[in-house]
Amino acid sequence: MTSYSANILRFLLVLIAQILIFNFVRIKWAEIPFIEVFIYPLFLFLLPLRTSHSLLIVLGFGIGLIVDIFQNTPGVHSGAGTFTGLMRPYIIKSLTPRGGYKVHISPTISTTTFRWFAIYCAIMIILHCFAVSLIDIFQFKLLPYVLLRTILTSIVSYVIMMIVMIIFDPKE
Amino acid sequence: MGTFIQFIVKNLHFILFLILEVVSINLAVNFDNRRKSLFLSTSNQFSGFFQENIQQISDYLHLGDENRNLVSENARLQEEILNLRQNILRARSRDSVEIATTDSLPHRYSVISASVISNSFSSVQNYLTINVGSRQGVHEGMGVISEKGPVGIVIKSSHDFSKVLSIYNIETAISALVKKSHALGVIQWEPFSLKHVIMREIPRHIELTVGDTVVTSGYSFSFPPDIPLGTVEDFNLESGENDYTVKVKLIEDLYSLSNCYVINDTWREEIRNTHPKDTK
Repeated sequence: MTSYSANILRFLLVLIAQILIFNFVRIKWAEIPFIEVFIYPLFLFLLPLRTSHSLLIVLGFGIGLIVDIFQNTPGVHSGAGTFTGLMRPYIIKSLTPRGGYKVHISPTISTTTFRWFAIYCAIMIILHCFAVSLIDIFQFKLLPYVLLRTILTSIVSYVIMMIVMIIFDPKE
Repeated sequence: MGTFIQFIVKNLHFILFLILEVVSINLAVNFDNRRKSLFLSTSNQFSGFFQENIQQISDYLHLGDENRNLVSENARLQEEILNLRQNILRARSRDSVEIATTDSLPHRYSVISASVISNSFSSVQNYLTINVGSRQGVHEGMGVISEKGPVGIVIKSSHDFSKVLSIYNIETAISALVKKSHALGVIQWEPFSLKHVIMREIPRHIELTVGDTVVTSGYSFSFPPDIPLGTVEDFNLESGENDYTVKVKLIEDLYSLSNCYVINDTWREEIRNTHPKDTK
């Protein structure tokens, strides 16, 4: 039961942090206006391993839609969340350590290894940011911008996420 | 039939993914155009209220800049008043012409001041949310300016908030004029430079020089004439084309915009009624 309440609490905290703080963080570097910080995907990354695939997709859509409302971008984050939800089990499967996973864990630093989590988080955030940029820009002629935005946004978000994970290091 | 149901149950997650992804992309591609609902944006009453309160906190961080902007804006207005007064006096002193007093002169434009509560730059379709709405008399189609030039056009307003099509939106088109040669063109944004816009539809026989001032033309109901927009930075004529592609440098980017003015054109209805055919 505690994993339910932990995840609900995490859902709220991550959303509050995204809406109240990180939506207002605008990094303007070398005339590139589109670097943003996303922290809300962390909720999806940290759901328990046994979460069903369909539920992951629905939760990704839901949290994305809430973020969308506060960013004036209907459809962008919900689509990206859906995509991230779809991809998560495949990524987790491909990263299986030699001994396999413990069944009832959420993938955090303390339940797995730091190295594993760092790789997992990096792959997931790149996928997520790529989906965000692709749905948002949605023009083939601007593909270089899609890639540039993916890289820059993922790097910034990744650093923030890892700092948050190291500081709080949730056990659930 | 049994195998079909089995197939669905087995691939439920993938079917769910397809459905939700189509919904999202549909929202992203179609939803955000003009005349669409305010439901999923910061301009609706609930999230607008929320966002405004957050913005109030962060406004304190920009008080210094804001004061400087207001002072310079005041100075500019003061100067304009003095000049206009001078003009009126001069007009009056011609003995035979009767000039109406300033009070009875019809004012074409009225201005509603507003503050920006959300502003985006990262997409190809960017929008602003401002804290005035239909209750303050803001309606669809009104122009929004700041001391830095045009900001955008109101596309939707709720009671207390309005959604503004930013100048940094590929759908925005603003009628503009090169001041020196009076060449008329259309201003559009090309991602992702916040310092430049592109001006098109200037015919090739017109002579342009780098540094010419570009102002709004006043041929729409959104913006009054002669609002400075920027200067010509570069122009070229592609072979086989009849129009110039002009790169216009904006006076200042709208990155740190926090206050703006909504322009209400009171002659709009009257002018519209004289052209009953194009009710656009």
